[in-house]
Amino acid sequence: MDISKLSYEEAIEELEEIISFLEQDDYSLKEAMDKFKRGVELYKHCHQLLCKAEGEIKILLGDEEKDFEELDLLREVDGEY
Amino acid sequence: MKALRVSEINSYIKKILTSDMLLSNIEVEGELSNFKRHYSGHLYFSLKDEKARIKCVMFRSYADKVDMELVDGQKVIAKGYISVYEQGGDYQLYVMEIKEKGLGDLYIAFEELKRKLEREGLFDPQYKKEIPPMPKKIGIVTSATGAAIRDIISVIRRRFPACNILIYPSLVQGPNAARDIIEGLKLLDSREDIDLIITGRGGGSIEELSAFNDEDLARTIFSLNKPVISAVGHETDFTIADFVADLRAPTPSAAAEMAVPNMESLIQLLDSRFNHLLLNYENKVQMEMRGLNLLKRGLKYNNPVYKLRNNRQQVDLLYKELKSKMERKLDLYKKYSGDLENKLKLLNPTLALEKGNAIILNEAGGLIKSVKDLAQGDSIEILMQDGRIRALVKDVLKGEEEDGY
Repeated sequence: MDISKLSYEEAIEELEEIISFLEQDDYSLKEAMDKFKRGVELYKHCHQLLCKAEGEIKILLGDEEKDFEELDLLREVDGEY
Repeated sequence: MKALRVSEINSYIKKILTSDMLLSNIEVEGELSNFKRHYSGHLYFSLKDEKARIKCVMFRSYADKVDMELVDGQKVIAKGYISVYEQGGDYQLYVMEIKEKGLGDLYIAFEELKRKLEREGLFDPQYKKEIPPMPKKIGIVTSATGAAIRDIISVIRRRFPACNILIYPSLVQGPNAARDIIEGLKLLDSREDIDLIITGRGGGSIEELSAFNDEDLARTIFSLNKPVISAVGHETDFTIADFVADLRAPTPSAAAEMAVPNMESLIQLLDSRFNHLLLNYENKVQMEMRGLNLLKRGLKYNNPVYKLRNNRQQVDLLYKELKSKMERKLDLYKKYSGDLENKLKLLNPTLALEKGNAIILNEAGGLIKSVKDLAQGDSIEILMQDGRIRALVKDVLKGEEEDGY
């Protein structure tokens, strides 16, 4: 399955599976290489999910979503505090 | 002026105090102290504030009706009248009813609603939804201007910056607050992108928190499809919303802590998993390497050049052995031939000739050993010790013919 579509939990689960797979003995080096490569990709994906750029903070105003911090500045100007 | 007796003045003071309208039916607010329950069933205590205290007594007939636990330090409102204990000369508050301060109608309504919803099962743990371990987008229903939203945002930003936040700004106190919160909750619940909802506000009095004690709000929270964390007030404030929510956070900051995982510790965990992966892979590769090395050694050992060298050595060895054996054999033959020579010497026919014997040869030089080899007229040669005789055979007589046997 395409790694980029996996949720963090799914990716972690598969990574754990690969780790325990590599703990046994009865598999080929080719298999090991393939699994390892996939494991590295899963790790990268998880890492990216954790560290990706800051999420957005929006505020619902009627049907519109506005940036929260922007609104905040306006409020300060309005002296609503 | 005649001096009054102590009992007379105390009795007089009592009459004055008990005839006062205000003092005969009064509510006094204060903190309980020196609380003692006498074995007779009467209660003795003081009420105090920062500046003063007043002695109180509550007789058993009234004390029996008190349905709450009384402890020192408790803020209470005592209802009764002021009178004098004549024997001691003390004026006291004779308490007939006592209730916890703040235990107004709101509190009673709160308790009633809580019991009702609890009976209906709205607080039952079996209905609590699981909080997602890593929400992508959290919806928050609270005041956009309060400290609560700032606390929540700052904690989420610190712990898990990747998380998206959508705020539904709502009133959190006043008559329209509950309806506003309900609307926000329903709206956020209907959105696909929201994984988790937080609703709450900062701490306050029971009046200020009343929106979160609203029955309709409680039922709305219960009916939502998405998990809800309640985050009302400070740790000591409980609301109906807290009981019905899927998770109760003692403060808005705590709600944020509960809502998102800690990115740092997740990364640590992830990195340790990665190390594990690397280690397992390296182990596998090393194991294969060891196997390969063994094979390499096997190959080297079976190398034909090596074998050839080995064989040559063997050939050399065999050659040496052969040579020495041959030499030994040769020696033996040499020795044997020497012996033969000696024997031959001994058998030298010249020796026989010297003894007077003769050797007869035919024309071809062949040795004649028998008369059968000769016929009449054959020319023969007779070898003697000192010369040869050429002769012709005159007659051949076989042994029996000659002797006539």
